[in-house]
Amino acid sequence: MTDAMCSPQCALRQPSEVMRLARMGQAFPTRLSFLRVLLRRLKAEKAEVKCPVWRMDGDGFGEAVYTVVLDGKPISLVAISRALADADRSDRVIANAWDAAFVLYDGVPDDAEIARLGRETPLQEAGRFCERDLVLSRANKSVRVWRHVVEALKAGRAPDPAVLGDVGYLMRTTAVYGNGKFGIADRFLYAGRPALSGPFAAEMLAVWLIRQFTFDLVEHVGGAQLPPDLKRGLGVGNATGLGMAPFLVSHPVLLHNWMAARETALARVRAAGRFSPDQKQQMLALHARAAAHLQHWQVPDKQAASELKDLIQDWQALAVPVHDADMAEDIFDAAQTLGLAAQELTVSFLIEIFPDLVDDLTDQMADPGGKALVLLQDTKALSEAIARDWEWAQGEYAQSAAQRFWYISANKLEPRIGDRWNEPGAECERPLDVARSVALMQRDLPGEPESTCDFLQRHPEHAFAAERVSTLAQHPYAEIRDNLIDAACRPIDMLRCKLAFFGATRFDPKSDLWTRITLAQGAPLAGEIATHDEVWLSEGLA
Amino acid sequence: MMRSWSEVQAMAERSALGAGVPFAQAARFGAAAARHLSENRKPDMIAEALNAPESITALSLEVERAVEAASSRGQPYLIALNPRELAASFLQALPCDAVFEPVKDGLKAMVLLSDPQRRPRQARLDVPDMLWQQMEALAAQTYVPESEASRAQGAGAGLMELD
Repeated sequence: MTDAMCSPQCALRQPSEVMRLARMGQAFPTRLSFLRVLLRRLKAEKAEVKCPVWRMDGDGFGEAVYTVVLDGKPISLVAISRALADADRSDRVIANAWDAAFVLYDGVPDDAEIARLGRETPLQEAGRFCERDLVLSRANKSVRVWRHVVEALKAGRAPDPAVLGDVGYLMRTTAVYGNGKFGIADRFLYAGRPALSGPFAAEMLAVWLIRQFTFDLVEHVGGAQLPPDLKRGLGVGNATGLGMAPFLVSHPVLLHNWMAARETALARVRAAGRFSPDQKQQMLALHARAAAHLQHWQVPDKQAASELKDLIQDWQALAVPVHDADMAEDIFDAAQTLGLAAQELTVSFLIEIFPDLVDDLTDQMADPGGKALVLLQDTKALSEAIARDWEWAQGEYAQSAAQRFWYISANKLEPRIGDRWNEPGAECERPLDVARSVALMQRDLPGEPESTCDFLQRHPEHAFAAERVSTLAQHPYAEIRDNLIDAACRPIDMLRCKLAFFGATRFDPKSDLWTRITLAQGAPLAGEIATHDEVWLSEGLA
Repeated sequence: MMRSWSEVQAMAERSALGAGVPFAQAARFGAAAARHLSENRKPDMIAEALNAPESITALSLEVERAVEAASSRGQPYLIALNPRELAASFLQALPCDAVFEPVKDGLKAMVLLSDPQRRPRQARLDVPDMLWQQMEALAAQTYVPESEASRAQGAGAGLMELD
């Protein structure tokens, strides 16, 4: 984030408030979410999606290629659909076969490249890829919805919207890999292209094209077209586990940029004057849209269902303040008496009403790099920064406060979380114990100031903590202000925050460690991207 | 074998961790190793550094001192550690630019904090098999084998219900 902000704004919400997991775990997508940024870009470019290759048998097994031109260059989604026995269908990252596998490809693949991707893509982590392969993904069918839609189409009738709406997608991805994994292109190779420069833009493009593929495939197998409004109401599912959680910790500047952009957007909106009549109308419509979205949000988990019930009540309670409000600040103030989920939904809601005030902030959400971290110069500065910024990290890290440890599994090379006191492997702990690391460094800081480099020469083990303290001093939203190794830590809150920035909705937590979500529900279809606006929360299917 | 920059950086970082290098310094080594290969410098230097992990920690601190010299005094800094080529890779792995010249006792380096690093990065890096195997073996020491408990809890999925 730069400081070049010209719009009036009130004070940003404090990091001590915003960066707590309990609040981050109630995040909602906003206009700044990456999928929505991409869709606006596609619309601005009047992007046309073509399908130059469609080689599917009657059961929907084969390959397809979708191509879209962005920044004057074609990018293609190569989709490989294979038969999969029901017993082999698993969302876990340890699975080794899926209904469909995908590569987002730089250019238009010829037959030789399609053949290469046909061999490698279904292998996923066991395959090898090249710098023309931008994103790697795979997906499984929602068997219930898929069968229902195919049977309905074959019978010449429209599928039941209630069945579709219950799940919200035809397929769900179980991983979307980018940035060099398994040999695919490093992000720096394409980050200079405007359309792909935003965070996770390539991954979001892949997801949106996968959604289109799921529609085309089910229509191919069913032998008839789905009504467009039904398709629009479907997204792409995703099953997400611990794998993505450490990203927020290992990319502190990026996390700061995301959060600072959203908080700046809110601060600008809160400083806006009285609503225009058009804004007032839009606001009432958006409040109703959000209410409909909440009603269609199905959550089997008991705790999540209870929280959703509270949110629905809170949102209803906000209807009167929304109706009576003259300006955004009135609504923001009214929401402060409600639960955290309602407060965060209100943030998303208010930002939605003022695109002219906030949309430019999306340019500041990537981390272009270029700046070396300069450590705070001496131990006195470190000590002062800890006293100022790390009060939340003070304490003893014993028993339940250090119950968990994060590690990389030998079997799948994926992040996992273990029980320090009851499982082996804590000696291989990954550095998500940021709070404890800073507390440990603090104990070793000398009474008399010395240069940070001299201190690190004596205590090289504290270099990580010194970097975190120095980073947070410059980037106040860079740190999750909770103990991530505490027994009470809920990794699902980290997932929710990151997924909301992606643009995910319908969070469906299956435990504290993994969730299902939906992306692109309500988004324009491939053939209408130039004429249809992307939307905030989908109202769902009746 | 040809690999992506990120693959090399991540593997080098994990291998340094496996060799006993602390986290922050291992991360710097990962970036430096990718830069080293990108600049067609000798891969053996990476292998040798992993055999002497204290040299990685020391080199990382020297680069930190070079950053500090530029930041607080606007002055160059003498990195009096060998090999110079690996020191150069550490400097060129910084997100900002750095100029340096070999001198009698090492490498005289000036970190240009306000100039972004503009050296190109190769799309593919050629990692000798022996080096990759060495890095894999060290990195493997940082992984935790699966257990009954981790299968049940660690991944988070448990029993999956499909829809």
